[in-house]
Amino acid sequence: MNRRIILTICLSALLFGSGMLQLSFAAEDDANKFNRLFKGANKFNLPPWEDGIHDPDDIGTLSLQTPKKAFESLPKSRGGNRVDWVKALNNGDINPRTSSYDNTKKMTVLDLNIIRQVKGTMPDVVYPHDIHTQWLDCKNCHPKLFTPKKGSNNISMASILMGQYCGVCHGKVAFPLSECRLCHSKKKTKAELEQLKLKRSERKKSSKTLPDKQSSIGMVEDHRKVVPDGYAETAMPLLQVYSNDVNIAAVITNEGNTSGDNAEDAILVDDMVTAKQ
Amino acid sequence: MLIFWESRLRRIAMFIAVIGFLIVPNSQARSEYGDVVINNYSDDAGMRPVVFPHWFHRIRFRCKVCHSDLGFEFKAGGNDITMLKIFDGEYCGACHNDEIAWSVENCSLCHSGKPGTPTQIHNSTIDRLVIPPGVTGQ
Repeated sequence: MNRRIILTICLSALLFGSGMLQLSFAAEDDANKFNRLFKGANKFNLPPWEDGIHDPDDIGTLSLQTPKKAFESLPKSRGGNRVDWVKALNNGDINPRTSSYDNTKKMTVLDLNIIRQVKGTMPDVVYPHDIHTQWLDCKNCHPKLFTPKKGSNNISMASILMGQYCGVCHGKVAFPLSECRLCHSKKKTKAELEQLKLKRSERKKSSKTLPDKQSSIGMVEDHRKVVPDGYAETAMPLLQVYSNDVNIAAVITNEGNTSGDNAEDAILVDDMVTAKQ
Repeated sequence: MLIFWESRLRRIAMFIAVIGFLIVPNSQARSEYGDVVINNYSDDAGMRPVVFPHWFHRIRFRCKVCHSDLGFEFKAGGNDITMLKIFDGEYCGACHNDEIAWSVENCSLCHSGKPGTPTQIHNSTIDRLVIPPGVTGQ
């Protein structure tokens, strides 16, 4: 009986092994295989000893709590930890301390929404101060990350992706950049969309003559100008994807020349502050 | 022979599942979102790098406790943390002092990373890009 089991196990292992070998060869050879560039479906909230960065041979690793266990009772979301941290805090599911020793200090919560108009048909960004100040101090962001002055922060998706501005937390700890609509949440009005349409048709008419290099989108001479420090060389392939990002063009024009034809760009990256009732 | 195989089918299936599980490569993209590996000095000192779980700490503290009160910069590896500073109550040592949280003699609870793992926020958005910055695709 035992011999049979051993034989079976050996046989299946052999079969499985050869199958996998064939599969791996086929995967390398097949140019048209599914998900050529896809890194693979993620498994979420794995225990530390399976997560790829903890050493399973370390005795401490096995004592660590598993995220799944901690997240069981918390509201779910799509990105990041798969936990809606804001909801968890508001529901009282978690009660994080406001200082290292207790929870008696009050957070200074500011109820102020900042609306940032963005180009194109993409919904405008609404930045809620109240959610952020439940977790953070004013000085965490101001003035180092964001100059607290209307129109003085040239934020682009490319710079956020490279870890600047919102990207200091979002994409690393706070919800990731895949959750576009959590920020881009204020739909353009019908009038705004009509205006966009009009502008586009005007641009089409005038595009017979080549626009000058400074103000046109995608004609920026050196994309590295807008790349955050330290990424000047490495970020090139990434930013090529974004060379049509209107925000980058706007940043360049703001740096070079903010008058005349480019005034339009300057207004579009302006902050619009509206107080919440 | 056929009956023999049928009776063993479940066992084989389980065995295959176990093998399949074992051979799946451990990729960084599976680490918990927000986990920071700190390897400024660890590798050189012959210790495993530190893995800091953001998720565990944010259940217990607001961001500002560490990033404002304790002075942690918003950058993986951007804080010059040494064990000496921790003994003296700076950085992690502000809480890991046997009063607020367990003390520094539990080396392996923090120093639990795979040797050679770079200082980085693992599983971040930029980590998961198909074309990472600095690499040209085909």
